[in-house]
Amino acid sequence: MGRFIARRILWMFLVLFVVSLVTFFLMRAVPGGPFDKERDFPDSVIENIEARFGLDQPLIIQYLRYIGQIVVPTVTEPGPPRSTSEDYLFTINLPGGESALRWMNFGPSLVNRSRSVTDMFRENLGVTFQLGIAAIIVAVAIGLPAGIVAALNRNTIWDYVGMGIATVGVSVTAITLGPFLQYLLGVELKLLPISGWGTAAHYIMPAFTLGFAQAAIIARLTRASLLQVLNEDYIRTARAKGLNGRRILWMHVLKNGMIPVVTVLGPITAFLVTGSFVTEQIFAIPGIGRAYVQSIGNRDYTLIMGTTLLFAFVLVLANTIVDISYGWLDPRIRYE
Amino acid sequence: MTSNVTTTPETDNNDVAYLDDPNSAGSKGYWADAWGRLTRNRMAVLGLIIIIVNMLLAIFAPVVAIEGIDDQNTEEANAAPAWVINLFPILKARDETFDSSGGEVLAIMGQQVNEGDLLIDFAGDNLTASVAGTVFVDARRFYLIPDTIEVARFDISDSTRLSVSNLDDVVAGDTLFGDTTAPYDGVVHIVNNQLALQPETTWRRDGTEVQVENLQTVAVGDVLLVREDGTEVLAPFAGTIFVTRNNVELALIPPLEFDVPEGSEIEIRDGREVDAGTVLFDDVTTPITGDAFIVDNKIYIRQSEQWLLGDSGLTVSDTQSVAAGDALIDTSNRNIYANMSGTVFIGGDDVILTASDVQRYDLSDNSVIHVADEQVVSIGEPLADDVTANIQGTVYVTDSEVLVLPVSTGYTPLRNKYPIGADYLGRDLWSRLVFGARVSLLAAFIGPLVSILVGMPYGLISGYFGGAVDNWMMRFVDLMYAFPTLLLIILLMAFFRSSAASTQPGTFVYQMGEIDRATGGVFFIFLGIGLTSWMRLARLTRGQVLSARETEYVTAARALGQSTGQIMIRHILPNILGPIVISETLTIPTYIRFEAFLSFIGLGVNAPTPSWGNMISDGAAVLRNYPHEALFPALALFLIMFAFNFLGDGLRDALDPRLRGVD
Repeated sequence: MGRFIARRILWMFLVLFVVSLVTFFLMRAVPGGPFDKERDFPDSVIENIEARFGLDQPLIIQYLRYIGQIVVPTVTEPGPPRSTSEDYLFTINLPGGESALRWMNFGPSLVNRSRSVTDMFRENLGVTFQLGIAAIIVAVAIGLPAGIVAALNRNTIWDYVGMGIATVGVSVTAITLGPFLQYLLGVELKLLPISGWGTAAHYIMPAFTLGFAQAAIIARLTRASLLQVLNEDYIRTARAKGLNGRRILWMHVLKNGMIPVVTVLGPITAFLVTGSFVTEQIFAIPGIGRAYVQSIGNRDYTLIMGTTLLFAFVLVLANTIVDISYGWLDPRIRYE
Repeated sequence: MTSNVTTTPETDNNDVAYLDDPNSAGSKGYWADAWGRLTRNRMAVLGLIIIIVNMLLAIFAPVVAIEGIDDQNTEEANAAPAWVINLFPILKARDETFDSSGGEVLAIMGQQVNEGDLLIDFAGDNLTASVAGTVFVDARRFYLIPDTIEVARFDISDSTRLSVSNLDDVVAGDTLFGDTTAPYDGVVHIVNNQLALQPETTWRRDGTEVQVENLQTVAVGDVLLVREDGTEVLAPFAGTIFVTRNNVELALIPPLEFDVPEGSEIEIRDGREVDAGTVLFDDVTTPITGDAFIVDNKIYIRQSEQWLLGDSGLTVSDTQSVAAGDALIDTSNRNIYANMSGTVFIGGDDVILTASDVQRYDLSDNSVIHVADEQVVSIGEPLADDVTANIQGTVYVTDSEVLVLPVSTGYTPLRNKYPIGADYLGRDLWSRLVFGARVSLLAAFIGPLVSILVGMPYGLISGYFGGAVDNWMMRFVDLMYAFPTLLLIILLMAFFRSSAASTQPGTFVYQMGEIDRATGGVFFIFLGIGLTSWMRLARLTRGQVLSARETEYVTAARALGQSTGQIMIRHILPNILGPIVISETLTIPTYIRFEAFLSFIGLGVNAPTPSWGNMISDGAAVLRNYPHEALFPALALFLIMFAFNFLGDGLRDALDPRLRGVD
C-alpha cells in the first residue's frame, strides 16, 4: 500500500514535470511575445525589457529558473513582497522574527506588469475554487440521490423521469445551459443576478451551469452501479439473514455501489476546472479561468505557465487521490 | 484517469454470438442483427433522424441558407420576426426605436397605438392610407376615396330590384334602383346590403374640350369637359385638377406643394411617380408616394388614390373605412408594425414605441411648462407648475400634453425578413446556423476518424505484441492522457495559429496555415482534437486485444500459420470492433463540445466562419436584450449532442445486449 502511494505520487510529479516542459517549450515556440502590443520601441529598449525579465537567457536556463522559483523554498527577510518578481504564495515567519520561509514564486506578469502572477492567484484562484466546490456540491447533491432513487425504483416512473433528465443533462454544456439559465432566471423572471460575483445568489446559476452535466453523469453511474450491486449474492444473503431494509441499503448496497462513482470524481474535477473557462466568461466571474484564456492571447508567459501548472496539479492530484481511494473502498482491489 | 480497475465489462471476453437473444437466432449477421435492435430503440431512431436532418442541412447549407454567412445588413441588426418576439417576452416588453429615415412615419406624436398598427411605411415596399377614407376594390385596382368626399351610399334590401350590377360604370343621372339616380359619374360597388358609388375621377381627353387648367381647384358642379356630343362633365367633388397628356384627373386629396428655390436642381422628372423618401431637390424629400408634377418652380406631389393590386396581399376589404396608419397592402416583409400597445414618440429620425409606463400630463389648465421638448429629466424634476417627473426619461411637449418617455433600454426591431432573426451585425441567424452545423458535424466525424486511424492501430500493436513494446507504448499514452486535454488543445491552437501566421511561403507550416485559412479556421481545431483524442481509444483497443489474443480462434489461426498482420486484421479486429464503435459514438458529443468550447473562447474558427460556439459567444454578449441570438444556436448544440448521446446509448444496447440497462 505504502509503496503504491509512493509510486502514484512519483508518477504525479513526473506528469507535472512533462506538463511544465511541454507547456514551456510549446509556449516559447509560438511566435510573438508579451511585448508585441506595446508601441514600436527601438530594439535596444525591447532588449532591456527582455533582460529585465530574464528572457534573453537560453531557454533551458529560463525554464530551470522558473521551475526553481516555484519549487525551491527560500529564506528572506519578513514583510510584504519587495517586488512583483519576488512575490511568494506561501510565507511562514520563522521563529525569531528575522527571517521568513517563502515558497512558490510564480514570477511577475509580463503583460500586466504592476502585478505578480502570485498576486493574481491570490485574488482569482479563491473564486475559481469556490465556484468549483459549489459545482461539485450541485453535482453530488443532485446526481447521487437521483441515481439512488432511480435504481431502487427501477422501471417505475421515477426511474424513467430521472434517467430522461440525466440524458438531457449529459447533452447540455456550460455554453448551452449558461445562457439559457441567464435568460430564464435572470432576464425573464428576475430571480437571480444575471452575472457578477459576490453574494450568495451569484453562486447559484454558475454552480448549476457547471455542475448539472456532472450531476447527470453521477446519476447514471450511481444507478448502474447500484443495480449491479443489488443483484449480488451478498445482498441476497443479507436479505435472507433478515437484516432490515435500511441497514442493507446503507451498509451493503451504498458502500459497494459507490466505488465506480468515486472513479468518476477525477474526471469530474477535470471538467469542473476546465469548464470554469467558459462559465467564468458567461457569468463575468473574476476567476482564474478567464485570466488563463486572456493570458494565451497576450503571450503572458509567466501567467500561462503558472495557470497551466496549477490546473494540471489539481487534475493530477484528483486522479491520484481517486486511484488511492479504491483500495480503501474495496479491499479486494490489490495495488500493483 | 489512470485507473487500474475496470468498472465496465468492456474488457470481458468477446464472444459475439448472442444465442440468448431470440432476435439473433437465424442466419442474420452480427451487424444486421444489431441494426434490427437499434431500429427498435425509439430514442436512438429519434437521435439518428436528428443527426441525418442536421447532416442534410449541413451538406445543402448553400441551398437552405437565405444569405451568405457574412452578409451584413445593418438595418436588420438584432431584428427578429414576430414569432420569435412572442417566444421571448423580454423582446416585447421594452421601448422600441425604429429608424424612420427613408420611411414615411404614419403615427403622430403621442398617439396611442395598438398591436399591429403600422408605424412606418418604407418607400416602395408597402402602401398605407395617407388619409382616412374609403377603400374601393375592383378586379385589378383598389382606390382610396378620402373621408372629405361624401361617397354616395344607399342601403338596399334583398327585395330591392337593382337597375345596375356590381362594378357597372354609371354617369350622373343613371338610375341605380327604383327612382334613385346616380348623383355623379362613378362605378357601382355592391357589398352586402349596401350600394356605394365610387366617384369617377379620371376622364379621357380625346374628343373633348377641356374646360379647366392644370392645378386649378374646382368646386362641385364646375364644368370640366365638354364632350363632342355637347354633354358636359361636371366636377362631382371639390378637388384639384391635373391635366396630363391623355387624361383630366380630379385629385380628391390636396396635393403637396414644394417651392423650389432658385439655383436648386430638381432631381425628379415631370409626370413620374415618386416613392416616399425620394429626393426632390437639395435635401428635400417627399414624405409620400405619388405622381410628381413640375410647374415652373414648384413641385406638386399628387397623392395616389388608386393602386394596382398586383400580387400583393390585400389587408382591407371592399368599401371598408380605414384610418391613417392602418396597413392597406402588405407587399413585402419590411413593414414595421407596433408589436405592443404603447405610446409612439417621434424625434428626429427615430420613432420610439415605449411600453405603457409613460407619464402623461394634461396641459388643459394653462399651467406653465418648466421643461423643453426632448429635455432629459430625472425623477422629481418639475415638469409644470405643480407636476414633477415620476420617471427618469426624455420630455416630449405637445400642444395639449407633456409626456415623459422612460429611458430606453434597447429595442428589437420586428422584421420578417429572416426566419429566426438576425445577429448584432444584421446577419441572418438561420443561414449561420446551417453553415455552423458543418463545423460541428465535421468535429463529430474527425474525432472518431483520427481515433480509429491512429489510436486503434496503436492499441492493436501494443496489445498484440505485449511485453516491453506494450509497456513503453502504454507509458507514453498514460503520460499524454494525464495531460489536461483542454489545456493542451488551447495551447496547440495558439501554437498552430501564430506559427502559421509568421512563417514564410513554401514551408510545411505555411501550407498548413493556408489550409486552415481556406477552411475558415476549422483545420487547426480538428488537428487539435485529433492529436488529443486517439489516446483513449488506444487504451481501449489494447484492453480488447489482450483478451482477444488468448481466444481459441486466434490460437487456431496461429497454428494454421497465418501471418501476424492477417491475424490482427482478419481475426482480432472484427471481433473487437463492437466496443470500439460504441465507445467512439459515445465520445462524439465530447468532440462537438470541444469545438464549441474553443470557438466560444475565441480560439476556434476564424471570425466570419460561423460555429455554434462563436454564435453563442456573440449572442451571450447581448443576452439581456436579444436572448434569441444566443438561445437558438444553444438549442442546436443541445439537440445534436442529445441526438449523438441517444444514438450512442442505442448502439451500445444493440451491439452489446449484455450491457442493456446497466448504465
